[in-house]
Amino acid sequence: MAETVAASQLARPIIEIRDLRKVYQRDRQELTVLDGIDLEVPDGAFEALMGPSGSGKTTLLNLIAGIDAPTSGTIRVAGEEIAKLSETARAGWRARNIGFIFQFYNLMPVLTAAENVELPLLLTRLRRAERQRRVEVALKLVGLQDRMAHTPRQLSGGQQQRVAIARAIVGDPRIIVADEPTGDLDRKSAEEVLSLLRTLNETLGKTVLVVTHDPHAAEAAKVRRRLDKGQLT
Amino acid sequence: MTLPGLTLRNAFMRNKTRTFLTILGVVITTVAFLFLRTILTAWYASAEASSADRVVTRNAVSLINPLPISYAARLAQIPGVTKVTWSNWFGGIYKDRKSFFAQFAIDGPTALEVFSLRFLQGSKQDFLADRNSCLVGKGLAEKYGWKVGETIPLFSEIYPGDWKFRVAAVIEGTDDKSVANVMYFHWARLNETQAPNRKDTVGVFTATVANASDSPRVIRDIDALFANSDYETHTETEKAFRLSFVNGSGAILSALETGSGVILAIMALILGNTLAMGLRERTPEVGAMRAMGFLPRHVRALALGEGALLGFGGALVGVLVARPILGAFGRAMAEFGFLSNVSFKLSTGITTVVVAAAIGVAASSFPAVQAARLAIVDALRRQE
Repeated sequence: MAETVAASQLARPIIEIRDLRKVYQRDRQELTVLDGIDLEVPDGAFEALMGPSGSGKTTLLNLIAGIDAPTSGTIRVAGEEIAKLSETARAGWRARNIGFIFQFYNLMPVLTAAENVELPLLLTRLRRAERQRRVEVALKLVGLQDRMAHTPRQLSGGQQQRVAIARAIVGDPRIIVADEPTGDLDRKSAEEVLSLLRTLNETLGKTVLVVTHDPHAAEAAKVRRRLDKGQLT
Repeated sequence: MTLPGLTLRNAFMRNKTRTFLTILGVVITTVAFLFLRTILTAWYASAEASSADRVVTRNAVSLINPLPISYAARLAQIPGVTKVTWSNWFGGIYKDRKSFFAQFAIDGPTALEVFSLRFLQGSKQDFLADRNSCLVGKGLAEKYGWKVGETIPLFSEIYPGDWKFRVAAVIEGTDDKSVANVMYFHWARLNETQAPNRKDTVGVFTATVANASDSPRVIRDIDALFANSDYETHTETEKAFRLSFVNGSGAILSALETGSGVILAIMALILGNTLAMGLRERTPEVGAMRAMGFLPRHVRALALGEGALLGFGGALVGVLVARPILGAFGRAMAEFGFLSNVSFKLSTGITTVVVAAAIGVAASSFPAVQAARLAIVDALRRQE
């Protein structure tokens, strides 16, 4: 692991976090979830964040992805200090830079696989033909070009997660964030999803950040970091 | 795929059972709403059909109390009055009480000058020449199969006896649809049977005014002329006179108005409940969309559009369903001789669909705003 960290430090960091704190207010209680996190993730890295429940790993991922705001500290991702962006600007930044993969896929059941993948492209000015071309490329990359017209209910869990991966990459983001991407899958499907993430990292050069409980899933990453009681260990 | 396309599918494809039940609820409320509005419209329509240049004079005490026929000549002397006629409510029964229709005893020569009637069969001359003849509205003629020359027997409790009238003509009103369900006969025939104390009295006088804008002054002059007499008068425009019958049913009308408001509130609750449930169920999807870069306004637009579509779709089906029902109800009411104007009105249908769509938007606004305000991380956490 020390070797992989040293190798990755050669590349320019795409994620730079300094003295990050996140405190939640629960009634009158303050709950410190992240306490003084410093982190640099190089461009093109494949890193796994591990830790027990409540350690703050999903919170850290959400902050990096720009869907949550820190209590203090700085987060610079893809050259932008995202905590300083307005909500609208941050939404646009996410659309350009971040691809999301969720544990429960979050596909629209009323849309086909192709339409689900096309969804993020509706925020762009791309023409319909170009959108469809990109959708086909993304679904081909995840091996589901023959399932384009299927709705999520007609797909297995593994196939649904592959559609979600296609949706995450169709906008060509620099960073893929995945929160327990194999948490709802059997071993074989999980292996397929991890293999896809490796491909995205190695072939397309995407920076991949995975939050997982599963040591086997973490093995797929080149760097594994551990979070405990709000601090990186 | 487009965002409006996604809205359409969210509205109708996501949970087909719930969508069906929601649409059914909107259809039922739409039919009920249209039903009440149509009845209300028909109720007021008889007053709307009144002529602006006609005034009606009745006994100031009540409509039941008569006025002397001698007032006709004095009314005609008032400046601005051009023609005067008079009539009595007859209240006869044809065959049985279920076969109700309105009958009036009129002074033929003057009435045909004051009221605008179209003769469809038979002739005016035949009616004027025979004091035992009558005029029947085309609706009555069609309903009872009456033909010119046929004799109609009536029984009256107000004017006891068996009455027989020969049909001289079938008529319709040029400006008043209610004429189609009315029968007219000669006042002279009624008058000759009256007891001495009721002889030469009439129910109401109807006068035409040369200039409708003079009506307020003419009304004041008429009532002033007969002030402090044995038979004081109450004069009003024909519209106000007819509206007094409508307003006499004020409690019913208020109930109908309130009922139609309650129906709209029920529609809003049905739509609001469906949309709130639907949005709550898909909170994680909303969170995922927001994470991808969609803005709160996109979420709001999707939810409001969904509400509008459900309201619009349900109301459209409701209008299509209501159309034949209202037609059948209108025919039944016309046969009964009551509310002759009950029928499906396209304008009411269009208004109902637009109002339902607006209610859909209003009902979805609260869940839409709530969904749009939800923090992305909270939305994503909902499925855990």
